[in-house]
Amino acid sequence: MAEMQFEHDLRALFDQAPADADAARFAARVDRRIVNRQRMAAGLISVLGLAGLAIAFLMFRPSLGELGVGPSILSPDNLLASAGDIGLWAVGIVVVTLGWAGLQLAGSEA
Amino acid sequence: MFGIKRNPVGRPDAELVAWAAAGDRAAFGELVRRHGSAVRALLRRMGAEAATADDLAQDAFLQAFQKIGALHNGAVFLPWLKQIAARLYVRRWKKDKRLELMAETPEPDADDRAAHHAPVAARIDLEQAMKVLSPVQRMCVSLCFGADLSHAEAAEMLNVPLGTVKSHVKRGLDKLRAEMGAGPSGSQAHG
Repeated sequence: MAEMQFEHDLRALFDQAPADADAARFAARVDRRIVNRQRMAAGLISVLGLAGLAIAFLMFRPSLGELGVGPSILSPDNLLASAGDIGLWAVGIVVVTLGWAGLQLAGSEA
Repeated sequence: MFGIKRNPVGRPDAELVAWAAAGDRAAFGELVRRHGSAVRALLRRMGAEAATADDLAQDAFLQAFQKIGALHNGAVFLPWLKQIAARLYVRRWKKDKRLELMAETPEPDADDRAAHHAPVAARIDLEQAMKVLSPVQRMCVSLCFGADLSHAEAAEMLNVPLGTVKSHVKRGLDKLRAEMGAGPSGSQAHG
């Protein structure tokens, strides 16, 4: 009986949390980490989305040109006609994407 | 974007858990303020240094926020959170290879025990009292009494035989009983 009482008391002691003057600061740190993680996830999703858009654009570029969708600069006969131009566009998209992702990460660290 | 701003202060855990599951960070922040101290205390009682306890408690809350949608009974948020924190500490403990669960740590000698006997006012300081236990006993007692795991669950978490956990818990309780002035006897912990 006494031992059961002791174990009951021990559980009660474990349930007692010491007074915490640091609670607000601790909660702020946890919140900051949650926000950072959410920003990272959003940034990653956005990067993947942009990459997907870029791939889709490059794949469907001739069709868009034929349909007359978009400015004439997107026509297959103009800017993106040659493989070199496509390469330049791809490099440009990658640079912009990486830059944007970097800004996202920088923002999340701030 | 146009949601009504709710005040989480003073709301029951179950309600805050439901709000947090819907993405309300303020509600989760209130849970962190309310239970942060308990989680850190558990980790310290398990044997973590203060800084480690702080880091692991943050990790536990992050995991809890990610998985909170899976917690159907919000009223048991604290025990659920403690088990996440305990699991994180056990994982780190195993990684650090500080644990030889099968090998019994030498018992403190009589002089050490006498030196550990605290005055009455300090006996309620569980964190201090836990220091008389060996690291393994401390871990097993904390898991069974602090994180509310059964002996079997603790054995599974530590990946050791059930009998080993029972033995460590029994010896740990005997020492704690002596330390806290409750007199010697056997263990009847659930398992």
